[in-house]
Amino acid sequence: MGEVYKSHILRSFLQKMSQHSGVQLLDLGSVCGPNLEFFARQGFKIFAEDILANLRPPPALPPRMRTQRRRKKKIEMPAIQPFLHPDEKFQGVLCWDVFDFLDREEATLLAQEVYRVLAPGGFALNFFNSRKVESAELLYRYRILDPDSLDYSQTGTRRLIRYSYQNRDIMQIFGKFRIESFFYLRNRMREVLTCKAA
Amino acid sequence: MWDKKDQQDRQIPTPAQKPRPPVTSTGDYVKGRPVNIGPSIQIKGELTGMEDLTIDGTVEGKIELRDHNLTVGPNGKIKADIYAQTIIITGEVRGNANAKERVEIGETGTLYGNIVSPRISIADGAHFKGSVDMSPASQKEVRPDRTGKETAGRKSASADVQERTTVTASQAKPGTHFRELN
Repeated sequence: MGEVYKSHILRSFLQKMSQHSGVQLLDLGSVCGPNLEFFARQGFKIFAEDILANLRPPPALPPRMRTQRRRKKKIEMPAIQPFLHPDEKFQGVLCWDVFDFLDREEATLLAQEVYRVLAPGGFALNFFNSRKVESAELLYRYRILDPDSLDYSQTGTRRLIRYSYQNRDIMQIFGKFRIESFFYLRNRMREVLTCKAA
Repeated sequence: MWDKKDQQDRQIPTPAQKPRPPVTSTGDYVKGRPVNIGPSIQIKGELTGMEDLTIDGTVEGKIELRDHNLTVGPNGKIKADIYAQTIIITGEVRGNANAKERVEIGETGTLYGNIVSPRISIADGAHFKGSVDMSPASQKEVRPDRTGKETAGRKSASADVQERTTVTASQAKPGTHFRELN
């Protein structure tokens, strides 16, 4: 088990979802079986899609080169593939472990794609880790322990460059969305609940 | 006294003394044991059975075991919709997994398709792309009837695959969609 902390928006997200019937959710990022089971047990139909799986890990470079390259953003990664889903299909999208591993351009594209597949009045759950970026990091995931607490832990052996976004960046990434709630936690996590206007 | 004990010993059969099921003329097949489709075997078509099955080969089409368990071994490659009591995946499956009891994807397992089952278990490291439906209503809908005709629920599950397949074709041009957005 990794770091357990209290989530401020997960319960709120669940409450909003439970107001609808026939809810369909899209979970992006590393597949976490217990999370899928948790949402399915709430009666939601959940779709899993690991969009980070196609991202290439950064090339092995000497430390100096690595820093220079990161500044110039020259490390090549393929663009995010469009989702295989029609417009306005989902009432909720879970983006809790993906934005940190996308550069600004890709993060904006992802937000646009999320906006496309969200139904009007739908919500997206977004998490950002604002801790100091060191180098390529192991992927991590959030595992639901209960509606108020999450286990944040690293997973697998793949390493990707992590980006640290500040409030202004986040506001710009979610240009089209209405920001429902925004929490900056003591552990330097940002939890953002965004809504597509009805 | 010693004779009495000997008699009791004789009455309790040890596992070694149990009569073994008959071996058929085909060789290794023994009734009651799971059947194994080996890595070198490729099957195209509909696979139906009334006993547990382990697949380490390649199967394309449809697999229906109703009240029995299917295990897809590490070398197994399935391109089929699966109907079984329990489905355990440690190989690769492309198709929908419909289980009456449980679907389990092991650490080395891959499933590209939708799961309909009252219980699921997905190990860390497993690859999964598709949907999970654990609602009791979908359990009833998804089972094919005895005549082999598709029920409404099954059609909808196939529709999901159709949708996935269609868009996969358009994936050949990465970035197209984003150009439209920009």
